[in-house]
Amino acid sequence: MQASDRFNINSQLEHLQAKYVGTGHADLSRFEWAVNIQRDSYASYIGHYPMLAYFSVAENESIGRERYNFMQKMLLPCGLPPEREDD
Amino acid sequence: MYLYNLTLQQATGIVSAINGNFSGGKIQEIVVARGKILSLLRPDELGKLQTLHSVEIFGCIRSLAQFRLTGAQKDYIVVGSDSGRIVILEYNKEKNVFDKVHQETFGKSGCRRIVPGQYLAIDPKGRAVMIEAHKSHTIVYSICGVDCGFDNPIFAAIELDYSEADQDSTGVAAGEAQKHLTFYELDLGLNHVSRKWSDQVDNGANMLVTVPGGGDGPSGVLVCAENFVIYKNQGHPDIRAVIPRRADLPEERGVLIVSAATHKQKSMFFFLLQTEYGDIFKVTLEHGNDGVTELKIKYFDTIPVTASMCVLKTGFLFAASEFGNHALYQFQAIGDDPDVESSSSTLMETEEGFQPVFFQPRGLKNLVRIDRAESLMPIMDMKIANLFEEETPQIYSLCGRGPRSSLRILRPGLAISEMAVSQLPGVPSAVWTVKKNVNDAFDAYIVVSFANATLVLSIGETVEEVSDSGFLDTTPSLAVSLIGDDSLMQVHPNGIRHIREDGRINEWRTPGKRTTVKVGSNGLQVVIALSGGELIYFEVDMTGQLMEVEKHEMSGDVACLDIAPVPEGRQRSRFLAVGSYDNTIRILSLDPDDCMQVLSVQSVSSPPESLLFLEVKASIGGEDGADHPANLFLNAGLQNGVLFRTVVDMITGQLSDSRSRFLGLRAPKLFSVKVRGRPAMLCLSSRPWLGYIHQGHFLLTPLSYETLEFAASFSSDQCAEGVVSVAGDALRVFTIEQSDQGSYTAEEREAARKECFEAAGMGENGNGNMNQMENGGDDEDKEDPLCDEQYGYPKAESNKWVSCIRVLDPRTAATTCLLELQDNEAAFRFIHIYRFLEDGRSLELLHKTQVEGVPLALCQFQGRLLAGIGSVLRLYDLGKKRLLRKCENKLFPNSIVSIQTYRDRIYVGDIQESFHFCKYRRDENQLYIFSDDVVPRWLTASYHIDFDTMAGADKFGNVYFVRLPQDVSDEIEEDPTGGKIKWEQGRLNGAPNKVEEIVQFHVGDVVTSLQKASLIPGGGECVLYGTVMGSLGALLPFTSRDDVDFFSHLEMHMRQEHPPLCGRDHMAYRSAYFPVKDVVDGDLCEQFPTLPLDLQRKIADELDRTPGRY
Repeated sequence: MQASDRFNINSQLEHLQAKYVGTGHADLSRFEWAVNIQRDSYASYIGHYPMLAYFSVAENESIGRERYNFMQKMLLPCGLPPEREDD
Repeated sequence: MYLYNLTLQQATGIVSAINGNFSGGKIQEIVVARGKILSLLRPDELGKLQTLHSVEIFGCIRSLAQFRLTGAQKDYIVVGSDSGRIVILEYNKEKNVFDKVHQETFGKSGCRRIVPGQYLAIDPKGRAVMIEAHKSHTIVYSICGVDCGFDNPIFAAIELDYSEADQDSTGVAAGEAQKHLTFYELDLGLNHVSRKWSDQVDNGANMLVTVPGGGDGPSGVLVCAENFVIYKNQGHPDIRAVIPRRADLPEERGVLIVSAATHKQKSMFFFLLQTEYGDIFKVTLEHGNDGVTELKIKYFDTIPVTASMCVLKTGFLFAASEFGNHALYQFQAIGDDPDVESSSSTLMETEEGFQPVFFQPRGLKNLVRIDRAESLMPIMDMKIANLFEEETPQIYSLCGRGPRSSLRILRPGLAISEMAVSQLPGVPSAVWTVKKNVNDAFDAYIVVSFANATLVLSIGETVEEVSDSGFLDTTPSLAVSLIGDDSLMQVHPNGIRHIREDGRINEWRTPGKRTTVKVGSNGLQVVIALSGGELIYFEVDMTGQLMEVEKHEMSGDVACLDIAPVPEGRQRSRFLAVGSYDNTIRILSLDPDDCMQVLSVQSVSSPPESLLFLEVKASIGGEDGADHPANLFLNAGLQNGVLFRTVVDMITGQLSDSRSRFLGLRAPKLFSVKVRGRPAMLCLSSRPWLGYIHQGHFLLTPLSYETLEFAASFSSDQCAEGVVSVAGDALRVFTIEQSDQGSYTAEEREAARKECFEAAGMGENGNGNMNQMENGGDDEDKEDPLCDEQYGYPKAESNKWVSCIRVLDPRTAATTCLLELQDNEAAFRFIHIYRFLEDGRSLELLHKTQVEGVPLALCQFQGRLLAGIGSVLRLYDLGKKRLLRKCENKLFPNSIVSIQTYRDRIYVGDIQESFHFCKYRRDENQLYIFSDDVVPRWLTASYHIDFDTMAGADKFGNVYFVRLPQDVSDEIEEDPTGGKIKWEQGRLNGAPNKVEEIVQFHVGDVVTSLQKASLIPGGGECVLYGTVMGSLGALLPFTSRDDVDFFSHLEMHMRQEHPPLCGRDHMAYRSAYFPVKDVVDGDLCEQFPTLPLDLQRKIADELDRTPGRY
């Protein structure tokens, strides 16, 4: 690898993708995008306590349970991934 | 439009709480995070919670932890927030502030997945802190430190790897996804972290608790999982025990631990774990040389579900409730008596899984509640109205949820607690309290003056009338006080009666036929004003005699007078203030050299009624501010109801820096009282106000009490700092509660079993839309002796709803009508029409109309009913048997949550798509949308401001105003088709016109209600908001461009000179979702007095002002 490669846009992007989950790329599928959005949303709900409290009032659960439910939903937020088209 | 945002009542809910010795020494303290506020609480000896310090950090606190350096006596605070930084704070008890000891930046900010700060873990020996920094393809549930003595620090984490589940379309990988408990070791020598050990853990795992190690215990961690608690350690078999479950819990529901506290003594330790239903279990470990042999879970007690629990070394349990009031409990026992217990050694595994253990909740056995801290969280709805016809409107708020919900009436002002009310034989005009000796701790007499007599009451175990006090009782009194060290003085219209300690009485009579009209005294000096305007000055001499020193003729009658308190170490005070009916206040000298010389003159807007010198030691820090030089303030109550305050130069007597404030419709009478041992001022206008020092600042706050005539401080055995006052023909003794949060007091009217709101008096003809629906909780067994408030409703199956409508009379707090809605149907798919009976005291069902969706919004419109049913806006007419559809519009994007109307315009709020402005054309019977918003806003609250303007709040904590541009608005009003043709054309699937955002502000808390109101009599209107965290705020419009300029510049300087404590950038915080627009953050500006004096001066210089001193 040449020294100049380190600074080109692709390697910068790769660096970002490695460092920050959810950084998109050209071949991002609709499913992957949605999964990221959903996980980010759940993380945001958990991080913003007032919002978590708002949800738990609506669902009549304790805040601790609501947080746990959101974390559990982060595993498969959009259901099963679509079958891969082998290429 | 420019607005000024100000928090009226700080958030009362608690996100997280930690305990330790933050000020050093042995005092146990609690630090709580209330969303964007960090406060330090301390339970005093009696177990009353006091707030020592509270600071807004302009950021969102996600996690808190405390640590102590080895061998140190003081705990530090680690704060994980949305600032993209980790901050270590230390409480500085001298200045009463949190000092930032260290700040480490990661980079990105916000409460996001990639921003570390959600989880913090501390090495129990205080050597390291671990922050979860979003490991890729992993969901982390919890982290904690592992106590391994002084070996390398180890941290544990519950992790779930999702990388395979994301790739596998068959779902096998997802099904097999397994949570792991992973240990990370920090090698202190190499300064390097390595993954030490990882093991499978129950898939319901959600929380970790550190088990004491080193010499104190077996080390390792407790893994709390759904239904189980598991002890795990490296190289140790799992020890698992089942969490006992309530007997009435539906089978499909698990039991989850939501909060935990550890108690550690030299010889033993135990854990208290609380479930999501509120039951606390005591967990103990049997351990020996070969590790842990048994894990026991014993039912302890049940208290409302907490967000955090803290066990204090002084034998208290602080329970920070997730909703509703927090409480401080004292331990009566530590659960040693036999009770339902599950153990790892009796764990039974059957074919259906592990055998459950059942228990029945019971009354408190081990804990006893000794104090509670009020929490309004969550404010679900709020209405501001003046139902009591008081000077200022009351705020009626619905707080809490489920069984702990309540309707609370909030009034601006400090709470008072009334200790005694007694009727007097006549209508008293004044009241005083006196001690017999300067050194006495308590008052000896209460002296009440009537129009023609004086009544003396002696204070002992009881308060009773006495006649041997030496006071003249056949005349009214003008002043009664202690004079010199141990003699009493009574000033009456015809003279002064001086009662010596040994009972001798000296009487001084007024010359000629003149009478005394006003008196001022300070214990060593007395000045009386005779009718006609003559002043006579007396002093107490060395022998305790009252000696006439000087006479002085004023130009006219004296309206009021006061002598400044004697400075410490001096014989006399130099200043006499005299108020005259010619609208002036004069400062006269009392020094022997220039006695009765006028030092300065101040003209005021109206004749002064009452004068009071107040020495204020306001400070910029310190718990008491004692080491700061005092300022002498002259306060004057003017006849037009204004309190006028000016600074008196301690040497020359010159007056400067005068300020006025309107207090009420009556001339304020001023009285000196003590609050927490420091001088304070009671002002009695049409309502009482208190000027006092709170956390180092002078505040003037109204009291929530009725109008009083006259008052005096009162101190006795039972009540150290009380006030005795007269109003009407009653004598009232009360104390002023030092409310923690400041200026709002809640009066809890009723713990309404279900949340509901009566909207009758509000001119709203709608009905069910104010009801909060409650999921679950279909309680049938009302015989249950345990109150639901403490134990919660039994959980019902999902999709069961109960709701009710309640009509309350706020005066009597009585429910005048209660309608329970049956069979789930009530909450859904029906519109009920009720008729008010008996003056609105009760309701009668007229008929029900079934609709196809959930009607979330109702509003009356031109004598008809507008209903938002899902995405349909429909107009109904009232029929005899049911509602009759008149017209509808189905073009709303998602679901209608609010409808407001004004003239022929209809303002519709969509749950996800902000506001839509609609019009109804009667001639064509058509509803159409003529304007909408361009921003997707998830509405949680909305309020109609004016013809073209709406205020809204979204789920993410923003408040915003949108306005239809003037030209568009005119065009629509002038267009004979009302813009209908344009509407038919549409634009990009939306309405042809767009509203403009004119105000935008990030509050940082979900706003659930908005309302416009005027809280000050005669003051302008502002928009009030209530939030989920239980705070109240106001947005006040600026009235002049100068003010806007000043405050924006002050805000700018404050941002620069005083950045938020936890490292969040203030501008970024207020613009978290949308750039802040035309709102000045008052909460930041109000922090100005907390700055060091030189910084205050620097900012003031740049703004061309001088800093005030109050």
